[in-house]
Amino acid sequence: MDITRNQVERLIDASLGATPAPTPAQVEDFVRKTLSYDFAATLTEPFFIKGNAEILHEAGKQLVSVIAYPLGGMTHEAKFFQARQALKDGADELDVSMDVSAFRSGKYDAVKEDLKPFVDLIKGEGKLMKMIYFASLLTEDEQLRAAELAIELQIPFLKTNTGFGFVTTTDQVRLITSRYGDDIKVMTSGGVRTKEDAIAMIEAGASRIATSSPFKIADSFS
Amino acid sequence: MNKNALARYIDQTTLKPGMTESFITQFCQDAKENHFASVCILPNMIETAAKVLAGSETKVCTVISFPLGFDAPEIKIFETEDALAKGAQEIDLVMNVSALKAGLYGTVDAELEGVVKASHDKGAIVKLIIETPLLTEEQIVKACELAEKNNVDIVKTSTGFSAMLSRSTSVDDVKLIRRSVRPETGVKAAGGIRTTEDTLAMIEAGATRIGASAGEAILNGLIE
Repeated sequence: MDITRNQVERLIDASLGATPAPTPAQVEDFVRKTLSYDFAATLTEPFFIKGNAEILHEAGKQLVSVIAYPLGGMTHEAKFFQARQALKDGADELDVSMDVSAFRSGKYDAVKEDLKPFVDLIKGEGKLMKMIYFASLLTEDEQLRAAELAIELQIPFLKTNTGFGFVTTTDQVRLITSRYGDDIKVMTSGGVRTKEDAIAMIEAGASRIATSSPFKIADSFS
Repeated sequence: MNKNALARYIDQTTLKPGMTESFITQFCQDAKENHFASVCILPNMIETAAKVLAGSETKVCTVISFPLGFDAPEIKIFETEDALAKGAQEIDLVMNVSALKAGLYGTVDAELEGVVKASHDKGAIVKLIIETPLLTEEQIVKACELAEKNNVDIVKTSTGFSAMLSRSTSVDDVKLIRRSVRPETGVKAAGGIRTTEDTLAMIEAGATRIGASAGEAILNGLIE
């Protein structure tokens, strides 16, 4: 497959990644640096949305925030409060962790009940929701079950992992895209550091790529 | 020190994503039998833990804004109130390290004031996680000063979130915090403490609580 720089760039959610405790100024520098690229979106944690959303919006760009991140262990109420505030602060997309404990306890109805209000809230505001399903903690059957559950809820996008030590494989992406490629999109997250990694993920069917090496990947095309 | 005395120092901890309800139930049952000070778990497991630990001397401890701490004060306060309503008795709050490093002390003050008030109103204690591996000595002292000003009960060294941190908690971290807070304020050492020897060294340095996922092994390693 012949994949161009711009094709890759437009699929990237640019993240500062596991940089430990960046200051607000460091986050803003990072956000400003993304402006000269054609990324799909720039990702921050909830505390950094304010201010950076305005910077991105003025340039016609999108900001995505993570919710219940990175452990998926918040209560429904706290997670929903966090999401509402993130939208109010200016986030255009929310990457929401499912309750991975409830999921692994087999309580699929509870997982859906937890997520349903997010679907309504985010869709209601015309924003995009991605569901983080922690692929690396699940069996293949469970990964497929998570995808089915998202499709049942009409969630448009899955996000494989949170990063932070979890590396997504092309097999994990292909498992979903080969079976449910017509029903839901997949964003891969965790372990994409080079142009080659990114292209392999696109070939596996990924529609988005979260990476903390966005500049390196884009620049390595020239 | 005997096993029972040592157990009272330990917050038996499991903060990995995706622990099942049956795992947490067993984990709490074991913690209760070992008389640990608390069980430290993610907020979505509070209700499961509270059922097992009701009426026991082992408290339900949870973490707020864990492990990054990058939430505005109002989010942290809401999450605390929700955790308390669900049965949490101890609150381990991740400080906004980014704000502290940038000198935005008003942000840290606001989260501490709100979380401490919500917790103390319900008879719960607050431990402030300051993340020593990411701070300079000066910043550690400043974090302790803000904790003291806002009546935090215990200053806790670290989240122990190893995917982000380049080192474990050290004895020097504990000593520095001990020197920087009033004698009646506690110090919790957490992050990479796995053996009885580590634990005793932390207590020797002034720790009044130990966060560990290997609490039972730590007790069993004690030579009485």
